Amino acid sequence: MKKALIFGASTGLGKSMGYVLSEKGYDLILSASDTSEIAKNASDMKIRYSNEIDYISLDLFRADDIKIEEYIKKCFSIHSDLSTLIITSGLNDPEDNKDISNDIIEKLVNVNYLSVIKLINLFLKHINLNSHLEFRIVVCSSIATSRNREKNNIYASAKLALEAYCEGIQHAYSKHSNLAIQVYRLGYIDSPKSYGQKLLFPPLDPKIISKKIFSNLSKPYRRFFYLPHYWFYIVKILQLLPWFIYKKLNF
Amino acid sequence: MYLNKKIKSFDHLEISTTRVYRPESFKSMTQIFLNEKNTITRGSGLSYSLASGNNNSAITFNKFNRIISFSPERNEIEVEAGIKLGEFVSFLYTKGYYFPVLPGYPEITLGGCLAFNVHGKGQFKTGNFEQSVLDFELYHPKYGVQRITKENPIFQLSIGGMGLTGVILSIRLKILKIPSDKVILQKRLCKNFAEALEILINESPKYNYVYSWHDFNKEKKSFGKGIVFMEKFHDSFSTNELASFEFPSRNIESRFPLCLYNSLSIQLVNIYYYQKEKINISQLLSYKNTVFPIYGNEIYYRFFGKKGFHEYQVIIPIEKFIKYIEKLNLIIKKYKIIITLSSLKIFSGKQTNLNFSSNGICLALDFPVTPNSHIALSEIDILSIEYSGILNISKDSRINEKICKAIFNDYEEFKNKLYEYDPDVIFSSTLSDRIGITR
Repeated sequence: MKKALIFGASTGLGKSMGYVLSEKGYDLILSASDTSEIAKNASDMKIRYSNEIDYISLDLFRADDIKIEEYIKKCFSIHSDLSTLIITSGLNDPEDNKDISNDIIEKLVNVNYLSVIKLINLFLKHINLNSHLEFRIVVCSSIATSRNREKNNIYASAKLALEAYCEGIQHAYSKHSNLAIQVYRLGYIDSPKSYGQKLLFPPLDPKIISKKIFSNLSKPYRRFFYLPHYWFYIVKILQLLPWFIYKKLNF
Repeated sequence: MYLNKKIKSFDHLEISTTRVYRPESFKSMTQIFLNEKNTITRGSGLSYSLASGNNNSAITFNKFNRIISFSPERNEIEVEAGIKLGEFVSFLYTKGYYFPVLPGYPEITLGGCLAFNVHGKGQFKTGNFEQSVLDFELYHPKYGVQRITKENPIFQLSIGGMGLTGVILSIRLKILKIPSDKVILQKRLCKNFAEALEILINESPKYNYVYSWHDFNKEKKSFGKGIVFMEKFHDSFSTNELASFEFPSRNIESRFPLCLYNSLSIQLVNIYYYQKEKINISQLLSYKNTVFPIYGNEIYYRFFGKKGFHEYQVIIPIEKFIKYIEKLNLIIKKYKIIITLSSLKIFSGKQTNLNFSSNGICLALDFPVTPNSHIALSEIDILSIEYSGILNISKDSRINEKICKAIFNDYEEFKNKLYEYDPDVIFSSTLSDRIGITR
């Protein structure tokens, strides 16, 4: 039985990922800041699929180094053979524009980057790469990282830094063929954040995205994915736009 | 965030523009009340009248569809109110259980079932939804989260309370062990309503579900020629393993631009249906194929066109029924109404608040909207009141305060209790405003 830790499992993609994995027989540890929601998700998954589903809450914004370390220790005390880490959590803020305050900068950097890389770092320290297990780290980034703009600048910068960090650790652990780090640049997903917003493309059902991420888990891929895939072409066009045009875009 | 949405009642006769919120966590749901002073909870939005919308805001609850607890040893389950019947029935089936009170479509949510105290095909045996409810959790911004047990007066106010007492979070229900994965369906042909009534009364003790279909367009002695359907579980399982099944979402809300029902097409449809059904008088069906009779037949509603249709559902005391239906037929003929569907069920129970429950025969009629249909319905209302009929307010987006007062003895008491509980009228819908409960 495979064991996975999902961070951001209270709503949206993380919750949906939990359902897909538990249906496929994974034992899970669900994590998010909202204890009540992850407890209900865990109980529902347990009743439906009879797997071992635990939950531990952690607020990435308020967590200091000690709390993150305790959290990871607790996760490995539940499942010493934890082999998959999926991070779907993320935070953006309507005040993430040119007038942003330092408090919000700190919050966005903590939740989207700093705490996440600390989590990944400790996870890597706890796993035994010489074992027979296949290890996967899945990180959800955003198409916002393709080219920064006024809106969501700090969010995009933090996620871009996270992508860079993932490439770095992939390089550091390249000798270990049983570890793959998969980074997803996600387009519009139907979530509390996207609901009610006027978007250029219809948001995708998180279930579809979760199933795609699950199907890649069994493969030893180490690379970036765009989901939905058509965002790859949109991002490339956006990146090729000359500055005098790009600066005039309001999106 | 919210979505500005035009919401239509299922019969397409009521419309409102509503800010629709879709929270995914309890915390985000409670935050809606910081900005909104008037709202209503929304399940799948399939109520025939506009019960889950108003001109202010609505909270869609479809992301709250989890199973909170399942106790097979106590025959109990607790689920969140946004779970759809199809998913719920399928889960229970795989565990060897079933839920006896099921309205006809799998997309309906359990929260909606409680808010309208719905009934199923076997109301005479199982009662309304209320009879299967142990307790439930309710959220009201003024009172917070409350566990509402049967002893609490809010229990009666909420069951069939149209969602006006707050947001129903979860419901604890009684469930039953499923006796078989197969259902025996027996059919009896009947020449008219009187014969159908006799069969319904005599056969109902032997079956789980008994209901009928009638051709309302036949005349004289054949008026009401039709078929009585009787269902009961087979006495053994045909397989050891109860495999899960699904009811994938279908589009039940879209309509063709024009109404395709007329006297000729209905006559042909009725002849075809009668001949088709009488071929197999006795059938052994899988449980899945009997639970939701409307599922797979959504095209029936599409044919009504964009103008919409009426559904009229009334319970009439058994002894008055034949006279009632004869007089009803005179009104139908006078206004040249084309009945697309008519059906009977036996009902048993006490009528309380604005609930659709009583002892008698439940008659359901469907027909397209025509220039005369509203006038005809006004006359039918008077007739129903004269025959001590109880109307189903969830099926009719036309009933007003005056009719409600004439029909429901508890109307004023229900209204006063509701106002006492929610004096700021945080919860209201187009339906509750129309019938004068929250206005």
